Amino acid sequence: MLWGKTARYAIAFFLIISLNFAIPRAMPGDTLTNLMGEDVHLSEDAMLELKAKVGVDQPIHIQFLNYWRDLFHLDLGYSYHLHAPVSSLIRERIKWTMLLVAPSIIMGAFVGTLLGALAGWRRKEAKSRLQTTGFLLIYCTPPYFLSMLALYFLGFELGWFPLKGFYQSGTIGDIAHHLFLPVLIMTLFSASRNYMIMRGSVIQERQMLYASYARAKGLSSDQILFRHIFKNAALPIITLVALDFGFIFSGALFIEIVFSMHGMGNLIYDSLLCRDYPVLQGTFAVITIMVILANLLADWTYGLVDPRVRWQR
Amino acid sequence: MALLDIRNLSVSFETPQGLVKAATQVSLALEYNETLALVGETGCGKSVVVNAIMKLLPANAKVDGRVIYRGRDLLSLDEKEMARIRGQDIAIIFQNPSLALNPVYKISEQVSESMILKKRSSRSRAEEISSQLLQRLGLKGRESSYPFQLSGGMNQRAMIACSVVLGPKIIIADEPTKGLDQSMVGQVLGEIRKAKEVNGASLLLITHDMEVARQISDKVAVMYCGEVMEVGKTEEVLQAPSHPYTQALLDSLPERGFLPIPGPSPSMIDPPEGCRFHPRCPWRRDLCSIERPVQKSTTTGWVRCCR
Repeated sequence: MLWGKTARYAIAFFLIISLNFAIPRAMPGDTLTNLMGEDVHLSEDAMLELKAKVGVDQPIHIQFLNYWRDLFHLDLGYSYHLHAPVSSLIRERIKWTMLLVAPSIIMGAFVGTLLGALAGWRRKEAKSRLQTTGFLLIYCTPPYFLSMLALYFLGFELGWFPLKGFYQSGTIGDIAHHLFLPVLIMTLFSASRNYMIMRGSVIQERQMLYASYARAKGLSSDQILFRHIFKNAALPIITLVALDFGFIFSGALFIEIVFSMHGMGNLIYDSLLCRDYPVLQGTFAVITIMVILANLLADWTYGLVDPRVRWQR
Repeated sequence: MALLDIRNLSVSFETPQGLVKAATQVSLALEYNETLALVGETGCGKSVVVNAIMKLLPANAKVDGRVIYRGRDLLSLDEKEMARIRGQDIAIIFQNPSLALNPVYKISEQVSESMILKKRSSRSRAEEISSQLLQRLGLKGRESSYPFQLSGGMNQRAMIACSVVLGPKIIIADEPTKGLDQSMVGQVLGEIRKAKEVNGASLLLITHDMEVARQISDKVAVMYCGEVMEVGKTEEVLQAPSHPYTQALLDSLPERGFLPIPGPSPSMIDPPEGCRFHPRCPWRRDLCSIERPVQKSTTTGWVRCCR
């Protein structure tokens, strides 16, 4: 069944990318303007020249084939607004966003799952109730607000952390110093969500007969939780964390704006404001690919952990 | 001195509807190498008694009395000490094997787990022993299967392996034949009996099926509405029952005329005064609704009836 699923994802990929091709051509107005962005003004001659270069004067099926060929050559078009190829723009931004988001997702998954499991197991204890309240509070606060608070108190008032950007001098220590606050906030936020889900999941799983039977076999409380309940309860987390990776390049938008970091989120945001269509289309294609890969990853890990899923396919 | 001595065990549950008196002053003794069947209709408190012995009851349960095993009162042990007893000294086989086994582990892993965690065996040694045990129970070639790949009967045997792998002195089986078809019943009972004999253990079997009790047990205890009504050697209790409830239970069997017991099952929150069986008893007298009968000796045991 994994092949069937892969085929389904391939079809989804084809359709979404085709839609990406169709939208600027189906939009009212001049196709070239739709492809270039609205603030690009050119002379009549330059316009014709560009039309030939971009290929919009050719029949639509040729354009479609060219579009796919360019995509496989990692040619995502040219931003006339930023005067750079879209693919190199994205490459430049992606590595910074990765540095911000990947550690946050990974640490958030570990911290949230572990603490959430313990909280679900010992939910009547005062300590775990307090912890749950704390995580709920973080979960309910919009991340940009949390970022602004941290920036104001820890960055501005106390001066412990720089106020903006990914780096100043570019040394590893400097980058880590800049990344500390945004990564901390993203980690807390992703941990709080995983915490809530894991806690609920453990509370549900502990009612199952296999948990009582583990106790009847003479296992200690920790052994029941970590050997028997944890694996069953963590199944929903796998899907969530895998999907987090799918939105790795768009999910950090608010954090990037508050901390003025030039990552993917800000790239999308700026191109949206300037109607820089080539960049929007390029990022759209990249996000599509990532989300589909993440779904595949989720399916694959799920099967790895849960034999019932593995044998069904 | 019996291997397991249950004295005046009472269990009640605090619920929004009121206090559920699930077991009242239950006294039973399990001798060495003996098989004791605890019988009675569904909901009479049989499972509550064994779960109280194992200390597996939920937090809202209130337990009184004593359960003496090898000179120690199990009810006074803390969770850590009790965890050492479970599996090694007293093992339980649940009634729903497909749900009691963990769905995401192979059965061989679930059998060897106890050896690795409780006996500190090496992984290879534990796997060797568990695979031998599973083979003996007729699961050869199925060691690497997951519970969802096996039938209910196979899971039942896998769970028997999980429970007896440490060689417990007491095996408790809670309705092990419930929901099995007739051909499987004999097979599963055979496996349990074998496991008992191999370990030289005593067996406490819970069942609502009198035929099962007749096949396997040395002694029978009959429970009704949270109380033990009659205890005695299996032949005596099933051939010449002393308590009218035991008689009624036997008469309700298909081969004995399929006679239903008149009246509804009693409430466990507000059980009948005096003898708990009196509202449904054909022999009831005025005294029965006032005074709780005392235990009277019979040839091989005792009965709680004034008749």
